[in-house]
Amino acid sequence: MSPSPYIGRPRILAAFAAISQRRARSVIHTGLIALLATSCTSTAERKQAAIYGPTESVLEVVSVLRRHVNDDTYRFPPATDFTGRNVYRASLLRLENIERIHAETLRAGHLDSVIAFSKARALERLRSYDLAAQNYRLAAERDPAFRNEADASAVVCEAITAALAYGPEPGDPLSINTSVYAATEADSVVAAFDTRAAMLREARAGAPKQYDAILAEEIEHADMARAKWFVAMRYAIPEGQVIAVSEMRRVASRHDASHRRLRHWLALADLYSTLAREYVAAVPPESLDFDPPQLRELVDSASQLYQRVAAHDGAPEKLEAARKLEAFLAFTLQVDRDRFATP
Amino acid sequence: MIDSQRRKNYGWRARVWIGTAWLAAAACASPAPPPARMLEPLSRVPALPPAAVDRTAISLATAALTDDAPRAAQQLAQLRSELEHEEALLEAATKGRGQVIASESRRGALLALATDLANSTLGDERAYREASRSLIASGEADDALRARLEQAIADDPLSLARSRVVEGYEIVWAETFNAVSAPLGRSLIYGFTTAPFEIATSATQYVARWIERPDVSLQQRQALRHWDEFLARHPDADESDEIRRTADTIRDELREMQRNHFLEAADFALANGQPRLARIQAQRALSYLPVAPDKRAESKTVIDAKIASAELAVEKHRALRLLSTGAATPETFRNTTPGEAEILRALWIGETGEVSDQLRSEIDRRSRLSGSDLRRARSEIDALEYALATTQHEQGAESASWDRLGRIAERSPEESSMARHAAALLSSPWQNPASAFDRERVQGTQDAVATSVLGGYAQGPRYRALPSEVAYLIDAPRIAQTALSTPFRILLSPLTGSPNRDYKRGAAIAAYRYLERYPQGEHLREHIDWLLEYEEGRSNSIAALRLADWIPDFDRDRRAELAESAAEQQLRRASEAGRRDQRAALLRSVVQEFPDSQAGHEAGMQARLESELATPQRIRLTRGFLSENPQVAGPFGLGLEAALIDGELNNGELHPHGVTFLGGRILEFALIAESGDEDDEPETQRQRISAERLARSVALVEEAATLGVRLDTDDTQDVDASRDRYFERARLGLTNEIDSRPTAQSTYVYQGLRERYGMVRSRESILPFDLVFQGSLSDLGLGAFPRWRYPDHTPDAFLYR
Repeated sequence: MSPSPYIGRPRILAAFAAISQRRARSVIHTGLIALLATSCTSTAERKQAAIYGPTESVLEVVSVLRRHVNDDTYRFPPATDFTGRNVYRASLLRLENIERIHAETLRAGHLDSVIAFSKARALERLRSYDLAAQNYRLAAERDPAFRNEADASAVVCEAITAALAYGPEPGDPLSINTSVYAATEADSVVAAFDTRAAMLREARAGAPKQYDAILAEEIEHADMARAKWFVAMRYAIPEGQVIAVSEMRRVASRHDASHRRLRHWLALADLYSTLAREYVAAVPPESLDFDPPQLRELVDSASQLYQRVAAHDGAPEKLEAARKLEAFLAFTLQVDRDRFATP
Repeated sequence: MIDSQRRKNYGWRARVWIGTAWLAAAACASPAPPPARMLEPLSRVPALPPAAVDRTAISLATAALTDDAPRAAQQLAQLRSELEHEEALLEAATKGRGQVIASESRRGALLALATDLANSTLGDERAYREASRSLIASGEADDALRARLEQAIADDPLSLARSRVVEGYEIVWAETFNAVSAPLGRSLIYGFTTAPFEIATSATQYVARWIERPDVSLQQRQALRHWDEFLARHPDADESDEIRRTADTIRDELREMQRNHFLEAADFALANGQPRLARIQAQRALSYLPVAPDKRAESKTVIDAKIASAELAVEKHRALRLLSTGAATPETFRNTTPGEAEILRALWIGETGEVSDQLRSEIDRRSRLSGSDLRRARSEIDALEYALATTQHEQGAESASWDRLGRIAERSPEESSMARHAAALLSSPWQNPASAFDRERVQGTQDAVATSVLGGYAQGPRYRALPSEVAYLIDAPRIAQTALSTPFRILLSPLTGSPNRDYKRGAAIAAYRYLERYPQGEHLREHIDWLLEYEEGRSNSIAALRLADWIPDFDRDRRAELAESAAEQQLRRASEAGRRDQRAALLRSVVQEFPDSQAGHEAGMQARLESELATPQRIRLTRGFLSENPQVAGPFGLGLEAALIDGELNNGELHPHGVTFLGGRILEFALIAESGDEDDEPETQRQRISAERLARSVALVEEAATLGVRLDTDDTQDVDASRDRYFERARLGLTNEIDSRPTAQSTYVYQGLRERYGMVRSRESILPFDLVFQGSLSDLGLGAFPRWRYPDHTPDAFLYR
């Protein structure tokens, strides 16, 4: 037996120290074994251990989605999942994956209502209101527990779908079936978008809480679509340029609380920049008709807006605005020095 | 007769034996053919009614989705008791029989997931994070759930802000630590005799870096953004007031820093004769005025003063320019003589030769003046000289014309109003590219020599924010060391493998400009020869060939060599092109431009092969990926024939290339070739699969990939929109319409971790510092010291610069 290092100390202390030493040793041993075991577990093995059955898989997706159902996606950007994807889109894709992987098990139908309701919650955040309404109706039909909530949500989604029928949307600019705007429609376009906004505001009354953000986003979208129409038509209607600028300003000022506000300012700055370039192209600075104050006004507005966005740390729009500002200033430096002495 | 018959029989038998033996040998030598089918029939799980725990879990999900938190809590409690009951039953049933309860971990996973689902109804993010911490601490969560919960906990603005602030302090500490350890380590080899010098140098540089540090660091700016987000989300939280005060202080400092940055840029521009740029920079400073009204007014006054001085400089600059044009007065026109009027008329409508003669005689006449008369007439004579130079240039006397302009430009602007016009022409790189070429060559040589001698210091000292004298003083010891080690660096430079800077680029641009501007110019051949040598020197055979075609008497054999290497260069470019349509276009151009070359022939063959093998998609799952994710290859996924992955070559084996989705519902299987060597090109077989099998397979691939991302930080999944789109359509059974656009093709490869990183992955050291053994070629320094590691920048750091 080895001599105790605690000779000369009280026996109780020595015993306590011996116990502590043994415990410490056993803790270290256990820790080392655990560390070894953990380090020996390969990712492939951990993957196998984390493959869920249908119920677990659905619970997992619903947990993630449920956490973000009440998110204010008007004021803050939509959340992303661990892969960096929009959480609503990722949830929808995962639900579709589960439906394919566990197709046979799900034939029993016990998860139909949960999956349909979850898909509806994801779809409405992806602006697919008609599909969301269909899924809400399906969930209500399959499970009475969902009926109240699903019916209320379906009504809102259908109301939004109905509202979206008013006012022209720009659509896919590269599609051969892109709708053609007519200049004579200016008044009716304003009326249509006013109707849409009114219907959206009406849909808010009595709607579940999470629709506040969804409807606010839709009203913002309607304002953007209206402004885009006037920007697209600015050469076709009287005072088109002025109206286009005022419409873009309207979007930026009305939606200053939106998470897209930097995008709105950028769009307005882009419009000023385009107008400046178009003015210089139409009335070259070396020509006799060139009016320096006219250009100065456009250049000042564009640069100030670009600068404003470029000052926002942490937003991707910062880079876009900073580079656009540099490019725009380079353009103004090209303008004949004697006719236009910098912004 | 009999003997001959016997011999015949023996011969026949021998032939049979030899033939049999050869057949047997051949049969043993070649591997067995691949299995008749690549895929097993699709497996299906029988649809069973849900168990009680499943039903309770569904009720919990329903309650959570319908915002019924009390019911969710109740269902969770019920689920827990049901699972415990089930577990007790199983334990009793297996007691004493030594059986393992295989479903234990699954039940644990279900309970943990259900708890997380109940937590998600808490509504408040902070409460959810707290509940997630408890769930992790309980040990019920498996790896996948733990990874997700940890991410949710980490996604806390306050915690993120705190991390950034700590990183800021860590950077300061690392700089301080390294400022001490590095000089000590470098002086170690000399027995610390150089330590005082090294430490003094390091301390000076530390101070210089400290002065150069921005007032608000990148980490503070990131923290500010996180604090702002927290305040926007939780304006009434307990800690909001304190955070708001901290954020406001940093915001003010940031505005001041940015304001000063633009004002300094304005000063710099003004000092460098760019008043217009100075005004732009000063105006940008206006965007960063302080928020407090009194400070705001004060700063605005400073900025306005700067703008005013920039505007004054602009006006001054303009006035000077106008002065130099020497605008004509009515008096000037009244004094015009008939001879001058004749010359002016001739300049517009006369023959160039006649005008030149008229100009020469007029210059001679006036040059005969003397004294003050000559001085008064200087501008007029130079105007005539200028006009004569123009006519000379039109007649092709390029050098004579520039020489004449050069003589005018040498005069002072007070002496001759034409001096600035001539100087402007001479210095314009577009008007006078030959002179620009000479200037650029000299400049390039100077830069090359300076870089050889001074290394990185040729561009100036390191600390640009300091006065240049101080900055040079700080760097003086290093500059001296670098200069002294020049011969060694030149000797060793081929071994370092660092890319050489192209010092001739400026001259090349000027030379090409000359060819474009003066295709019949006097210096044409000289420029072409120089450019040919330059392009050959940098292995740009395509450009060299183009230049060779400008030379009428160019050697035929050398041109053929150039054409061959130009074709090879173009072929290499084609091989590097990512998109198949671009690759095809480049290959076509090689064939069309260099039809007689070997590379042209190869390009044609490659183009043909590519067109034959082109497929809408090429999304590949390697064998490594399939072995690490057996559920993808298994009977409920692809349903790969077991013989293909059993490791036995004699029944056909999957090649490491694995299985490829070719678009539509076609799969391509890469099999190990007859040689049995995995390094050989695989033999491929294609098979059309059912929409159901395809949908199930892509769903499993996506799930396996996303699970990998969650469980292992190295198991990354790159973004590929074309892949996602194909998978999305495959999952929905929409693959009948094949999207054959080249841009819709994905060539994504799903690889196993072992294929990516090998058997043992390199891990970051647990020590907070690296042990550095340093040998510097620039100053021949040697050293060994610990260097504190700087924290990595976050991926979004570029959005704060």
